[in-house]
Amino acid sequence: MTATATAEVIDLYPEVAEAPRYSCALGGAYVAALAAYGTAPILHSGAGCGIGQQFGQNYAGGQNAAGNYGNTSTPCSCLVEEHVVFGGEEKLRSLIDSTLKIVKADLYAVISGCIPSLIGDDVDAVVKEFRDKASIIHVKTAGFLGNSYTGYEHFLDAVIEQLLEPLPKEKKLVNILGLVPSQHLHWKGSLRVIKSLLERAGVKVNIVFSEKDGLGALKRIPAAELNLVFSPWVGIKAAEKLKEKFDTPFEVIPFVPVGPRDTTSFLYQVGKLLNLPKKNIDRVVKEEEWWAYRSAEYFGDILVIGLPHAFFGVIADSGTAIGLTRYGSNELGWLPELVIVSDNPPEESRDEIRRLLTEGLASVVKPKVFFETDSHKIKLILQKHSLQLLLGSSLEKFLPKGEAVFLSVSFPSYDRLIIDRTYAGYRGGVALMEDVASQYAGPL
Amino acid sequence: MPTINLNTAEVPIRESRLGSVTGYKGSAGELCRRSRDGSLKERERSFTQCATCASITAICQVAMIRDAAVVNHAPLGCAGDFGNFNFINRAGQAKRGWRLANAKLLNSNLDEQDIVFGGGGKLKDAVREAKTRFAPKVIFVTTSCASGIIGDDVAGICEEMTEELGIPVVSISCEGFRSQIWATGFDAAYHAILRRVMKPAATRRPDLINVINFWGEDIFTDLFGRLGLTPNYVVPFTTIGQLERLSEAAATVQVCSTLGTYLAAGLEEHFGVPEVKAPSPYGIAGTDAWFRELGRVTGKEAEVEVLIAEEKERIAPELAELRERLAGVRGFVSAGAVHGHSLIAILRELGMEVPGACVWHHDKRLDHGDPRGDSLQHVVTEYGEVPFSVCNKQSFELVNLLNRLRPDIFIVRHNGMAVWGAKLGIPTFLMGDEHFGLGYEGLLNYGRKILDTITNPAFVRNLARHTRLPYTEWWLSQEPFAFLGEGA
Repeated sequence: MTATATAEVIDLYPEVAEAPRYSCALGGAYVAALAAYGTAPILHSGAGCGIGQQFGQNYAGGQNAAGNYGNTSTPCSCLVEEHVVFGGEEKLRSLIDSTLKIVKADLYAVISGCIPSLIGDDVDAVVKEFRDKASIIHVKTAGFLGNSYTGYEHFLDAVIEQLLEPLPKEKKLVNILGLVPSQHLHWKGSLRVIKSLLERAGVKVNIVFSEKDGLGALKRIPAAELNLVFSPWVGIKAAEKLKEKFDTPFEVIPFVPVGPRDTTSFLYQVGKLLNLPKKNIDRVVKEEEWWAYRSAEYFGDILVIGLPHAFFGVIADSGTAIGLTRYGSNELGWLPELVIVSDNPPEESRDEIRRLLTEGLASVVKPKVFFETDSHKIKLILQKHSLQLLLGSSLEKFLPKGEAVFLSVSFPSYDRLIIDRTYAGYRGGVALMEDVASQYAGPL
Repeated sequence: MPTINLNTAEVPIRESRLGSVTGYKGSAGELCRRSRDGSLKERERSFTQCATCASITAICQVAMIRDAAVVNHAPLGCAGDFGNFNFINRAGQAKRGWRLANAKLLNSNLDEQDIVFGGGGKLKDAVREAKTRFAPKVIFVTTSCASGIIGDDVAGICEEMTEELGIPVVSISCEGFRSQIWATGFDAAYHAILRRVMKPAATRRPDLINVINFWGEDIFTDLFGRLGLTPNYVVPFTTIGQLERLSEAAATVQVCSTLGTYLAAGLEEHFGVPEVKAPSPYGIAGTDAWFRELGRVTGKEAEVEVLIAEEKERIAPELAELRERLAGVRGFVSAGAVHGHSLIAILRELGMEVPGACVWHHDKRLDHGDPRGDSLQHVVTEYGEVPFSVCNKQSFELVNLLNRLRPDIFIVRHNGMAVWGAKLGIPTFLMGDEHFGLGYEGLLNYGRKILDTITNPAFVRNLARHTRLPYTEWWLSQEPFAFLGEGA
């Protein structure tokens, strides 16, 4: 086992994707719109784009259904050859017009795909015609413009540019950004856990996605005193723009804290940023830590007897990978052998991600860090390592990996239903241990 | 009259080849009549919702061929369905005791640069990579809206790569915008197989029957075994060798001619394998006719009569009981065209009422053109008229219709549609396995499942109570097909 943190470069055709770990920009914008409750996406695209995302985002994101406005209920211009030749603006105009009559929603998000972008439809102009009739935005995200993470940022950008108005700041109000719906497998649970912990410490929290009133939550964004970005890279652009337009400072919390140690430091960090009385945080920490460590006693036997000091590997988006690697190393005593970051972060954030994955670990063993999204290349990397535990996506479930215990924790995961489940926060550490141990407990 | 032209790279779309339409409202009998007399015209909608596209249906046929690889020449989002095909592939591998592996699918990942400068180079790289990675016998290249519009010469590149790699690299033209009928994607995949994979028969195997299907349970080994015949399931989970020799079979059958019409007709026209032209083998009348025609084509008439008699006798007691318990239960059916017709037959055979049915599209004719294969006419003749509509998964129409009709059960294929029955509080049943309702046993399967489904509606009732439909009150009070325009 080496203790260096170097990435190997595999330079065969680097962009080809086998079993991709995200979809296109349209896919990301589409799931973001669906996650802002009460928002009806309107796809200006080919007929199959929405259904592709049903498989490629919703089912892949822990076997979720698409909800009221997704899948076959999403209005779509279903462009065909005549539109490719003569343009699709008229089709879109009549689609929006009929959508406003048929589909009841608080916000309509026109999301344009590859075809309108290639044929040069002026979608902005068509959408503008409806501005006085309904809350409507245009998210310009041809599929080829990027991946799901880009699409999430495009959605936020459209919201900021076309929907948000300055508001007086609300004291102690924060927005949560950077947890990309569906791509962060546990997004719903994680957002709720973060909200509830911060609220108990006296913070008002707008998690934006999966808030009951989606349009209200979006519009309230400028009122926040602080934006928290829960990713080393996704959502930072939006936070920067919000700072520029509404003078809201932001803080990058590069990962969702898993387990008591990191959750406690996260709470004190936010406490400092918002000048919260320390005793507010102390109270939450004391209560939660008490229960978290009593829980650790309950799982102590099955951990120490069944999976002590396991050499483990993590394959996940950067934020999830950091949180799980730290919890496994710092709280469960596992030995991090390798981490494969699978969300294709931009070059300029990779050093920082590598640092977060290798520094501040209790273990002498430091993980080798790879940045890879292609399933075949991930398989080749895994073949060179021997692991006792692998936390990955369900694509890794049946790879030959010796006796390693396996649990899917990242996108895509087709082998689990994930709705409220999360590894965030104090109880998240316990939940992770429950799920891991359930893979090897038994056999009776 | 030749119908299948294997000289062109692209398959003619169903709209022009079969006169297919996606909008209709009326009765089943009227639809059959208007299909024959030429008065049926497409009716466009001024409101449309997400449907499916030919890329998805083309890939679904070639993705599970064991020793072929597929390169999807598209932006990454078009590979969204790969996960689903991986899922189906693994389920199929597990069922057969094979090693579990990813489906051999690559996406060329077209980005903004490629859109501007052309994606040809990237496609070549992806094809080379597919060869290195999977060592396939054939590489299929599927196109996309983006690759089509930017004008990449996919067919030409495939020729070039065939030369370079020494294995067939075969283009499948399945741009999503080419056809409103996503079943065109099946045809595109079969066109590629007929043109570039299949070989003329060196020998004939009088026992071998090609069964065009998706990935249903193996029920034909037993049924055909009793006739001295052997099923050859195609296309998913075959090998290229098996596909090369489809021409050796004694006949081709289909469980759903919406799926296999093109392949079956091509096999007959170009390779001399007769197609069994009969209504689908669902419900007693359809199953009888289907097996009798199979017996006639393969010279197994006597064996078929024995099989029919034995099967009918075997199911009779339970069928009688099911008919008694299901008499008058109202079932609404929604599915792909011919499978939808088949489900109507099953419900009527079980003594149920069918207050309405809706299929995803309608082909005026099948590629073979033989009226004996007209499954909708078969249903009308055997079981009488049914209120009938055609909508390509337009859930706003379906929700409106179901909300009015309030059937006792909603039987549907395609997962995106099923949830609407549940949200309306209607017990809903989705069967993914197309063989579940097939033949004599299929009637019992459906009868039992329907009883199970209506026995405890607790979940759907609760869901309906707490769900706010995404449609306006105004829409729910309109006529369900109000947005279906007049025929051109």
